[in-house]
Amino acid sequence: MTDMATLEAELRISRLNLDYARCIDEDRLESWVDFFDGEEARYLIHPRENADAGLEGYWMYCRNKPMMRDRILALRKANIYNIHYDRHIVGGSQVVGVEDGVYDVRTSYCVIQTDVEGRSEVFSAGEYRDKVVLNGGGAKFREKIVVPDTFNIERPLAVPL
Amino acid sequence: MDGLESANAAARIAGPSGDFSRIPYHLYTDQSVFDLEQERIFRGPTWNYLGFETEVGEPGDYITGYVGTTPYVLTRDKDGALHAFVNRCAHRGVAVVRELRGNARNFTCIYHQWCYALNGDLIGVPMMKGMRGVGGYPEDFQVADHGLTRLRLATFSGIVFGTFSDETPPLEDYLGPAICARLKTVCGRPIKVTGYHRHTMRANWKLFVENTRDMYHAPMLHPFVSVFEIADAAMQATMEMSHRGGLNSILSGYKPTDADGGRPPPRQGKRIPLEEPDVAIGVPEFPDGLAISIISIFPSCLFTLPGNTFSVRQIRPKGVDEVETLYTWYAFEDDDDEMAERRRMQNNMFGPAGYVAMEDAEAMELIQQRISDAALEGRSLLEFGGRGTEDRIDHMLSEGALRAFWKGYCDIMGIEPGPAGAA
Ligand SMILES: [Fe+2]
Repeated sequence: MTDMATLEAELRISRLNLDYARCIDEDRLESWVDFFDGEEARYLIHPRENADAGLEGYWMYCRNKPMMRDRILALRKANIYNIHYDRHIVGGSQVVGVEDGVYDVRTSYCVIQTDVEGRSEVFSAGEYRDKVVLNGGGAKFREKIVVPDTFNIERPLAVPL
Repeated sequence: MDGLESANAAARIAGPSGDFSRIPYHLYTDQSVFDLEQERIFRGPTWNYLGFETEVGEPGDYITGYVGTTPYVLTRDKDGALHAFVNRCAHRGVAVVRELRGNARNFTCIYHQWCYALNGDLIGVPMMKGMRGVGGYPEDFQVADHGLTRLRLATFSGIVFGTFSDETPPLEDYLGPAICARLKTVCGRPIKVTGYHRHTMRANWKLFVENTRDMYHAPMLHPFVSVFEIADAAMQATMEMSHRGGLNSILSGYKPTDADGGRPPPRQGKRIPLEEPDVAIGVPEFPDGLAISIISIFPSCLFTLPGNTFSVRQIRPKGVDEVETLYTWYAFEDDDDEMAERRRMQNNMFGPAGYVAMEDAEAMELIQQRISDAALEGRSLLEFGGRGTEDRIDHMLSEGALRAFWKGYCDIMGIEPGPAGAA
């Protein structure tokens, strides 16, 4: 049995991931960093092949918020990639551990991408492995590690997952 | 195909113009071209990158990959010797090895339990003599006749190459002195693999090969370097071509060092600073201020060094309009923590999310979409920097390395180029 406090935390963290996903799908990427807690928060995309083998091999490695802001700045000012819509389908968040008030959380995700002529296909399916802090009314990521099962990717990976 | 059939197939393919400035679209879209490439190039007299020795460091270790469309397994046997064989059971054509990599004592096919040694020899066939006097193989059946097809191997600086042909020249001659010297620089100390990236692009594999040696596109297609305060105007670039007129190439970018009169790059007012510029700015690590190195070894690999981050890409054609690239990222075993972190940060430059790489996939796919009709009578235009080929280019303003590639391609494929000149 999961206790009520954990269920409540899971509900709040599920909401955090829903808001996070909607922010990306609605292309409000300048607000993306606001889901993270403090300048030292980390965002990594770690394809499953490497995560399972204990290898690094990150697709994106943002060791702090400045690197996340650089990612979005580059996407807006420099990088050229396929014209598309992203659609995140995010599962419920499950707390798998808690240490010093930091929740260790797993959430399944799927991103369906739709191209400029309206064709949709699965772009990435996998899991969020998050470290989340709950302060008063707010929930934020101390760390977000995206582990795509889809470790052989098609199309450029420009927008964070 | 036998030799004559294959020569006839080559003769039916209309080639580029004689100065290699016009490349007909059907070379990127025609299934018969693709089929002939498998025979004449990937199973022909070429050395194909199979992996690093360190990836099969222990007896029984194996990794899998592709030479063209042919699947292979690279192994180390219990005496430490390396072997590679085609991953297709001699009985019914089943993939014998199903995992991407691992460690095994031998390999047993799931279908009828044929068992192969680490060197690809067949060592066991269940019920070979039948049971209770019935069934089994004929008297003259020899397990020695049914091993897996082997590749011939050669190694250089810890890198394993394989070939299907007896006519392939010695590896060091094939690579040439410039590439040998550079591989000794970028793989010159014991390495460790730090991860893999797999990126599939819906484009012909030669669009990728062209992209790897296209100096013209870099500042145009990849604005990252010019938009942010990281471009180095003093960078000196050189492209050297070798093997059959230019199948192999090596692009070098040198930053002048203070010792020989280098100056810091001029600040340009419009550029934007990055908050963490270390993602893109390398520290000097190699002689002569070498800061960029892109080695294309025909037909199947690409060693890249931008700044301080290393990877090799295996080029895996999947069909006329699809290519997969397998990046193997590596670092030096003796890197200190600071250098390891620097390389980790700079990994953001390449890969499917690479700051200066994601555009390549988009550009190649946009080409393939538009030329996919094999009956389309059109051609690519490669006149930037002149017509014809050169062995060396000392600036970035040329498509000469692409023309040199096509010269070598026609030679190895047996395709006759058309008349020279602008048409
Ligand atoms: Fe490029």
